Amino acid sequence: MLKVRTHNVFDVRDEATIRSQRFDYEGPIVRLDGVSKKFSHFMFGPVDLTLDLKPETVTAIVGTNGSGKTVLLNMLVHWIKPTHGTVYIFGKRYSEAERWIKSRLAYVPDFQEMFYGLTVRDLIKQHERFAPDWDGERFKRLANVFELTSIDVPFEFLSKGNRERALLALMLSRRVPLYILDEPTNGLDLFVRARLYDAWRDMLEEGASILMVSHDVSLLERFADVVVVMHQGRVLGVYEKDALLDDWARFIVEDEQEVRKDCVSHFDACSKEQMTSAGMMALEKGVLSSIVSSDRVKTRAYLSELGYRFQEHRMSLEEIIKALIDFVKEDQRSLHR
Amino acid sequence: MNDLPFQLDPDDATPLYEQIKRQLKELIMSRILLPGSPLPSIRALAEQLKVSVITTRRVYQDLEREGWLRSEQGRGTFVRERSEDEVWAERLKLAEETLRQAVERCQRLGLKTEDIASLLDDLLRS
Repeated sequence: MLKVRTHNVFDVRDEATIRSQRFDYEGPIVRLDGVSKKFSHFMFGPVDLTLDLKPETVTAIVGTNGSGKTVLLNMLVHWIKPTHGTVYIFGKRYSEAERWIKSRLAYVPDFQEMFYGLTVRDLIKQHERFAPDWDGERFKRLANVFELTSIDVPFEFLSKGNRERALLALMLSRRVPLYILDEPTNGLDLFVRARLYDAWRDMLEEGASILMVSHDVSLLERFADVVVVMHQGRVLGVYEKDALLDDWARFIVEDEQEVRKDCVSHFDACSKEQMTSAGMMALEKGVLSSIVSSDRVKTRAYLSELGYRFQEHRMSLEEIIKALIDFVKEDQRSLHR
Repeated sequence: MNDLPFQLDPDDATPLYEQIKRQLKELIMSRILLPGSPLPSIRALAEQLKVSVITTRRVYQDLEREGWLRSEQGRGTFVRERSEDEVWAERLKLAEETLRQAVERCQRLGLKTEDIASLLDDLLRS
């Protein structure tokens, strides 16, 4: 008798083969080539961006509200198509290999409304049916870890935190090399967060990589390896977290000395590139007693040369990101002058 | 696993990578970490220290190459057993580095060689 298999129709290969086929890609996973998208109210790009997203690493996209972070993620999963430019994921374009690409990534959108009308059970069935990489055993474990209970209640009746927990458990139960997460800790309590971190660690140690958008500073400090900073639809830069922490510093000038005017004008006169390499200044309490620098070695040498006594302090990741965006804003203001 | 007693200094301009490497060596040499004891995974250590796995991986790889650690496929990273001679040589190296820094500081303060020698003498006697 002919047996019709409704479940796991794709799952004919053994796990090792799946693993080697899915995790075999080397080279940058994401590449945006002159990508822009024009909305009536907002211009995204043009963006040229290469993200390695190496196995076991977490890359976090940060930026102010409305800087285009979610648009970027939605482009990576082909929900938004660019007006100009090309998006390459795992070295391929969606137009040539949509299924191939989509079977290698899982997306948790920050748009829970799209699942209204469905229950968690419906979504499990969809995954069993359509996702060849679905790991039912892992889902059982994660459902347990995240304490999912109401799997027969439509999404719109679940609390925000419960919806997020369900989506995370579902998407993380796909065994893919790339997880894309939009604000994944939104609405989660401290205890669930801790358990989510454990689940992520397991996935990363299996060789996956995570790309996420998040405003959650404690999450970024703890998990991010690479930080992508966005502002007004553009990418300001891609930074290794530890390079930011090592390179940036705050200099406090001692004994109420004011940094001389010619010193200030020296910094003002620099072009943007020179400014980043020579260090920059921030006004605090009316006098220049505090200097924020993106190149502590140069600024230290420069201040010593001018004869200042000063203390040098590391900055937190949050302070650095804020300063980075502030400097760009300052730059734009000076251009308009 | 309990967190290892690391202390990254917010006012130390030494790169994070160097600080972590030095402290891990000191933990091994002071036998807080005994030979054979398992180390946290690179991801777990990165999270504890709030640094990138790129850094912790590099620290582990370097210390493995230098003979402090050994990693076993699928089991993790462990403190390597070392001979007394090896440990002694490393101790001397570290002690020499510590003293060299102290001497340089004394010289910057304007002390002469004989001043430093007699100071060290006093300290050793006390």
